[in-house]
Amino acid sequence: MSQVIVVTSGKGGVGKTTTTANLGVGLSKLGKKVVLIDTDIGLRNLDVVLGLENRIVYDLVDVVTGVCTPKQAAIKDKRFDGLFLIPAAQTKDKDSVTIEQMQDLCEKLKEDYDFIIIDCPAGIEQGFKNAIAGADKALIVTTPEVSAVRDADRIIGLLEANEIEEHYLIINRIRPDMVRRGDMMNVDDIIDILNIDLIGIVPDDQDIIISTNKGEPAVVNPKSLAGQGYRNITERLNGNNVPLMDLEGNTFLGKLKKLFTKKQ
Amino acid sequence: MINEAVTLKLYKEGMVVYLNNKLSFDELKTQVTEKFRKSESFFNGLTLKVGFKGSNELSKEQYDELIDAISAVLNCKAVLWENPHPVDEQSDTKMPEHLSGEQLADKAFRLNLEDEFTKFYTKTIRSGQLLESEGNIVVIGDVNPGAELVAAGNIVVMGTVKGTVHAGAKGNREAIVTAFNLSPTQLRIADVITRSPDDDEIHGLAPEIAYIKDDRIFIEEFLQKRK
Repeated sequence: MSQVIVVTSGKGGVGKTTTTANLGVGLSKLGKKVVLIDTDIGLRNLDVVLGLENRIVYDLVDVVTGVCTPKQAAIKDKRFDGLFLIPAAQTKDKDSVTIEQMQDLCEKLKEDYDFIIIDCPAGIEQGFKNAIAGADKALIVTTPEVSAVRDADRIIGLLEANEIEEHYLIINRIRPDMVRRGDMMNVDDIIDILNIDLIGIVPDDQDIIISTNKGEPAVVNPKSLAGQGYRNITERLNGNNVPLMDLEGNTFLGKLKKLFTKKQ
Repeated sequence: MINEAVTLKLYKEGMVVYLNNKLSFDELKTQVTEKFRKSESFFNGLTLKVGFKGSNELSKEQYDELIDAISAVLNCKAVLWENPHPVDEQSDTKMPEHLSGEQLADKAFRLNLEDEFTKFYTKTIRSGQLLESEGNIVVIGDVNPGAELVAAGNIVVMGTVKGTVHAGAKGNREAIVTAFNLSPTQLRIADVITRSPDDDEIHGLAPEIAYIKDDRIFIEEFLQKRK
């Protein structure tokens, strides 16, 4: 049974595109057939993050207006079998696509792919409405900042209003050291406010910036902490229940602290 | 005694209509209908006791006709109140309190607070969502920052309030707000506004209630401490 998943956040810059790219790569490495759709028309990024910019011939607007078939527009990834990208148009705007067109496209793609992952633009306007139109479930990306959590809350409300009841939270860019010092909201604080299920946490990691600039998603880097976070999320999306990442890490202090907290 | 053709006065038990005895029955009927039309939307679905005073004795049939006319205009059930308010017969010699339709509606609203309908929500109310009610609001869940509740009556939240809440939005100062944890962005009752203190004061875990006293909003624990 194929799934249509929208990756959204409301606020910009929290890591929607990075998450989409990493989950796409992660799932394709598990042997799934995945297509990523960039719906951020006018501000396309996903192709760059994946290093596929120079292969674009057709884009999303071409597909929905019938200029080409979805198959023609889907760019096959250069490294990972089973991973495809339908890029956004760069020279059009978000009104070039309608909600019905997106729904049709998602239905068509379900026949050919196991996972359809939609990268949603920031904001709650037409672009957002298009992105969620055909989705069965949503992944809400937030960072441990008050403004990002506030926007995530708004987005969850809108998803519920649009009858997307299955939604999960990804907490991105969490810094264990700051959480420990009490300078950053911790996972429980965020879940307390948003009141939805958590599907994974992704620690803040410099490797992400390096890999994004290189066009090589961190999920394939076995040393990257963030990559580990994304691998866990792909496993969960694939139906395997893996335990939540241990943020305290393997530091001596972390282990010591756990020893004491367990006793209480 | 009364210059206007028809004057309304509201009591706990119901409404008294003062009729000008110089007018014919048909004129009276038109005036009464007109007067009630102003507060039309408010009385929807309620049962209203209406008594008549001041005019020459009308026949039972004529009273019934007036009652029917009021019922039709108000879209509510009006019933005849016989011998209205003998208690303050004395004060009736004074000019009855003159109220606009809106004021009347407001007064009646207070009287009928207990009967007013209540909207229930069983989900967390999130940023950007606005809930409005002509009666009371009950939320079984949290009210997150950026969300807004506006009720003409009371607001009860079985959870944490962090958004903006406005009880008694139509001017009812008797309205209350209660929640398991009351730390709203802003809390309004009728025309009084307050907000949480700027310092991150940690509230007790006990449920709290907000109400108006001396033109100010008071917030206190509403459960009596166990002895």
